[in-house]
Amino acid sequence: MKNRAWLFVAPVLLLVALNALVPIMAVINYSLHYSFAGSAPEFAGLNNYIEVFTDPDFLGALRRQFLFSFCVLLVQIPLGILIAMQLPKSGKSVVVCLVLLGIPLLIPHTVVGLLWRIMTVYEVGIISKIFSYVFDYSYRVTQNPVDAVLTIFFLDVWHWTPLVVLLSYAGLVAIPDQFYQAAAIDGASAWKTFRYVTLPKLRAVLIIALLLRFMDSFMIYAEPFIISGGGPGNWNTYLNQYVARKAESYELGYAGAASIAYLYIVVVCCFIFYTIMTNLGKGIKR
Amino acid sequence: MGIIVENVTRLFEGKAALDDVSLEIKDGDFCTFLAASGHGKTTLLRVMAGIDKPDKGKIYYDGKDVTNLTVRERNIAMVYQHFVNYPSMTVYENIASPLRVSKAKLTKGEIDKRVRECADLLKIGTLLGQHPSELSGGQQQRLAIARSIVKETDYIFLDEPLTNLDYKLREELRLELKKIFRRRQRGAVIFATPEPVDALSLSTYVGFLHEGRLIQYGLADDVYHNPCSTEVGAYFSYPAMNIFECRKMTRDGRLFFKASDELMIDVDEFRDLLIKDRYLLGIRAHGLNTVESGVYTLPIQATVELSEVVGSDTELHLHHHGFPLIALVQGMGTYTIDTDITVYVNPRRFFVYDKDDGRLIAKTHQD
Amino acid sequence: MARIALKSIYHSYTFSQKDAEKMSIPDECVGTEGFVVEDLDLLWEDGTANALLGPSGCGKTTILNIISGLLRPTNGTVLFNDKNVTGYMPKERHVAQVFQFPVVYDTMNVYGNLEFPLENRGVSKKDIRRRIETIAEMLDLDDKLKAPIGSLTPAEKQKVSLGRGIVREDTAAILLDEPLTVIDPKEKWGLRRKLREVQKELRITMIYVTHDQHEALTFADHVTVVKEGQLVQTGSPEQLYADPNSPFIGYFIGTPGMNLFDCVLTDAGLQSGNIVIPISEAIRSKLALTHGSSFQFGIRPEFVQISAPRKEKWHPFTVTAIESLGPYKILTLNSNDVEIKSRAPEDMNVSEEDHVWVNFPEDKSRIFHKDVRLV
Repeated sequence: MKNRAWLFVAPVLLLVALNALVPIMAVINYSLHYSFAGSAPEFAGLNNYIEVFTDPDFLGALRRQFLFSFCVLLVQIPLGILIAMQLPKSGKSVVVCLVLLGIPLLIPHTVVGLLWRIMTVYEVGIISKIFSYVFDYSYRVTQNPVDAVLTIFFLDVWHWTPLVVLLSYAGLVAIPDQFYQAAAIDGASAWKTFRYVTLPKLRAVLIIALLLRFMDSFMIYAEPFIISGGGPGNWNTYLNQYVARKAESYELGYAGAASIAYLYIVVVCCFIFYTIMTNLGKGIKR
Repeated sequence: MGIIVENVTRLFEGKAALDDVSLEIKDGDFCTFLAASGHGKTTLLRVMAGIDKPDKGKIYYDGKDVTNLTVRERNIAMVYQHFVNYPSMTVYENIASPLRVSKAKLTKGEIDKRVRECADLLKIGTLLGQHPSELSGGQQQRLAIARSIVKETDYIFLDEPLTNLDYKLREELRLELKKIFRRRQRGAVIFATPEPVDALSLSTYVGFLHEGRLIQYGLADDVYHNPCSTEVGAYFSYPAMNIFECRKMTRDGRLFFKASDELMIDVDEFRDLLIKDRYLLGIRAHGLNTVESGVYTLPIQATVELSEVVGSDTELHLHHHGFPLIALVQGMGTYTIDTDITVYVNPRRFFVYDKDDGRLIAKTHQD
Repeated sequence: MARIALKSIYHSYTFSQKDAEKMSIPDECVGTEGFVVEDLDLLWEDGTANALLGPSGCGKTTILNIISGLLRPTNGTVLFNDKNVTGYMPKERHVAQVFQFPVVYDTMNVYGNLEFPLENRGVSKKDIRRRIETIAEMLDLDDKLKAPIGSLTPAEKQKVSLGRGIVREDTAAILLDEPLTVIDPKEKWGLRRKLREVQKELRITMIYVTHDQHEALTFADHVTVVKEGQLVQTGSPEQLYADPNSPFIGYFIGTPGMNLFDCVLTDAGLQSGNIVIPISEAIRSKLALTHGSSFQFGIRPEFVQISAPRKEKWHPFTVTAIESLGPYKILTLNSNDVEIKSRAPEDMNVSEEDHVWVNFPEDKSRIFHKDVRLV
C-alpha cells in the first residue's frame, strides 16, 4: 500500500520539483557566472555575491524595502485587528461588511497602481486636487520623493489591510464567548481583556497574516513602477524592481546573485517571524 | 471466522500508540476495549478497521490477510463518538445510503423494508422525514448506529458511541445496544469505551489497554473477577478499587497480611506463593459495608471524609490508619464528615498484587 | 457570600422586555411558546452546595446566565441577600463562573491566572501572594504555580478557573456549568471531590448545573430539578430519591430509574395487564376518593423483590435481559408488555428466558395520577 501511494504522489512531486527547484537551480547557476548578453558565461565563484552586497544601490533598495515592509506591517496589522473588532459579530450586516471590505483584494496589482496613479496626477487627480485646494500643497508624485513614498504606503495599506481584517475577523468569531465572560467576571479592563484574551487567541491567524503580508509587501513591484517608475531618483525603487532592472539590462549573473540573496532574506525573515510569534506568549508572565 | 490481530505496533510521533498488540475476536463476540483516553483504544479500532495502517504486524479477517486493504475494500461499519451523519439527507436517506452504494444491488422495495426495520429497531421510525440537525443528540447517535447496522457488515466498530450522550440516554441506549447486537447473526462488534460499566454490561470479551499495550484480554466476567494487574483492577472497577500496602506476618502459626492493626487478612492458603515481605492488597468498594452482615465480618475503624450519592448507592470515602478507603453502600445513607465509624470488610474479596510489578498473585475469593 | 433568590422569573429569547410589559406577565404568557423559563421561584441559601439538574434544553443555562447577570430576564427579579440586583452587570454581582471547558488565560502561568482577578481589583502584592498560596494549597496546585498553563491537564485547568473564582474574598457565589464535561472519567472523581471539599471549607454558595443526576446528587446538599423551564421538585438527594413528586423525578433520579407502568383501580387492587397488585384499604380509600381510575404505579428497581422459586401472591415475570454492573445485576423483566427492571445481587444465579416471581412491597411503592404523586 505504502509503495503504491508513492506512485500516486510521484507526478505531483515531479511537478513541484520542476516548478520550484529547476528555476532556482538555474538562477543559482547564473549567479555563479559572469554572464552578459551574447558573451559566453565564465565562472565567477562568489564574486557576483560580493558585488551585490557591496553595491550601494542594492543595499539602498534593501534598506528601503525593509523600511517599507516594516511600516506597512506596523500599520496594517493593528489597523486590521481594530477594524475586525468593530465589525458586527452576527446578523445580515456581516456579509455586507465583509464583501465591501474584500473588494480591494479583488483588484489586480497593476489596476491598483493605475487607479492611484490617476488619482495622483498633478493638478488633475482627485488626491492631488484635494491637497492643493484643502492644504494648499502641491502634491507631485513624480517630483517629490515624500509624496511618492507616501502614496505607495497608503496604497498598500488601502489594498491589503482588508486581508488582515478578514483573517482577524475569522479568528475573532472563533473565540468562545465564555472567555470574555470570564474576563468580565475577573474585572478585567477592556485593554487587559484584549491583551490577555483576544490577542493570545488570535495568535495563530496573526502569524498567518504577518507572514503573508511580509512576504507580499517585500515583493512589491507593479505599483511603484506604475505610479512613478520607481522614482523620483531611486526613492521608490524596492528590491524587486531593482533586481528586475538588472536582469533587463542583461546582467544575468549579478541579477541571479541578487535574486538568490533576495530569496534567502525573505525565507530567513519569515523563519524569524514564525519562531518569534509561536513562542511569544508561551513566555510566562512573571 | 473472526478478526486476528498479530503483533500490531503503530507509532505516533515516534512513540508507540499501540505496542505489540495481539488478540483474536471470534464471530459472535461483543468485544470491548477499555482504557483511559490516550491509551490507544481508538487507535486500535482504527487499525483494525483499516482506517490506519499498522507500522508492524498483521490483521486477518476470517483468516485472510487484510493488512493492506483499505476501509472501502473491507466489509465493516463504524460509529464515532461524535454524531456523524449526512447533514443534507433525511433520516431515511441517511439509513438507506449504505445500501445504495453497496455492491449487492437491492431493489427499492428491499431497501425500503430494511430501512424501516432498522429505524424501528433504533426507535427513530417516526423521524424518517427529518434532517439530522432537527434531531436530539441521542437520536442522532441512534441514526448513526442505524446506518452502521442496516447493511449486513461483518464487523461493526463503535468508538465511544455513548460518551457524548446525557446520562439517562446513555443508560437507555446501552441496554438497547445489547439487545440490538444480540440479534445479529454474523460478525462481531468491537467497542471502545473509557467507562468500566459499559465494558462490563455489554461485552462478552474485554481488552484492557494501558499505554498502548494490551494488558489483559479475556471473557468480560473473567477479566472483572481476575484483574491481572493493579492497573486493570483500579480501572475496571467503579468506584476505583482500594489498593494499599501490607506486610506479611505470622499469628498463631498462620500467615497474615497486615495493612493496619485492625486490617489483618488470613492468607495462609497461599503461603507458598508469598515469598516477598510486602505486597499490595486490592479490594473493590463493595467489599466494604457499614453494617455487619453475612460476609462482612472484619470490623475496622475509619473516619468519614466524604459521602457521595451515586445513582441509588452511597459512595463513602474513608480514612483508615493513614490510607484512603472507599466503601460502596446500598441505598442512601447520611454520614457526617469527620466522624469515626465502624466499617465491616469482607475478607474473601481481596486481590493480592506484587508490590514491584503490580502483577496479580492470588485472590481470597471463594468463587 | 450570598443568599440568592429568583422571584417569578420569565425569560424569552423572542420577546423583548417591552413586549413582556405590554403582555402583563404572568397572566398572558403562561404556556405561551417562546418562553424558555416560566414562573420560576428559586432560593439558594448562603454557603450551601446546590445543584440545578435537568435534561438538555430544559433552560438550565438560561437560569445560570440570569443569575450571573449575562442575561436580563424578561420578567422577574434576582435578589442577592435580599438586595435587588436584576439590573446589575456580571462584574457588579461578584459571581464567579466555571464553564464546560477550561477558560484560562493562555499567556499566563498558574500564578498569573490566580493573580489576575485580584490585580484587577487593586489588591496589594503582599495580600495577593498570601491569598494565592492559601488557595493553591487548597486546590493542590501549590507545586504548579510557576507552570505555564498549557502544561496542565484539563482537570488542573478547571481547578485554576475555579481558583480564579475563590481567590477573591468578595465572591458572592460560584456557578459551575457542567464543569466536568471535558474531564477524563477517571479524573472526574478527584475533581468532584475537590469541589466538595472547597465548598465545605470555604462555605461559599455554589450552584452546579448539570444534566447528570449522578454529578448533581454527588455534589449537592440541595438539588433543584428543572424541566422545560419549570421547576419540578427541589429537595435533598434523599428526598428526591425516596419521595419523587412526579414520575419524571422517579425516572430521572436513580440508576436505573424508577419502574413506571399504567394501571387501573379494580376491586382486586391495581391492575395492569395480567398483574393485579393488591393494595391496603387506607391507600384504596385515598385513591378512590379523590381521583379517577387510571394511575401510574412506580417502584424503584432496588425495591422489587424477586424469587426463582414460586411464591404465593407474587407475580410471574420472564427475564428478558441481564446487565452485569459489578456489585449487582440489572434484570429486565417482562410480563405481557409490562416491563420492569430489578436489581439483583452479583451472585444470583439467573439467565435470560428464566421465569421468576416478583413482589412489590407496598411501603416502597408510589402511585401517581396525572403526573402527581398520591401515595
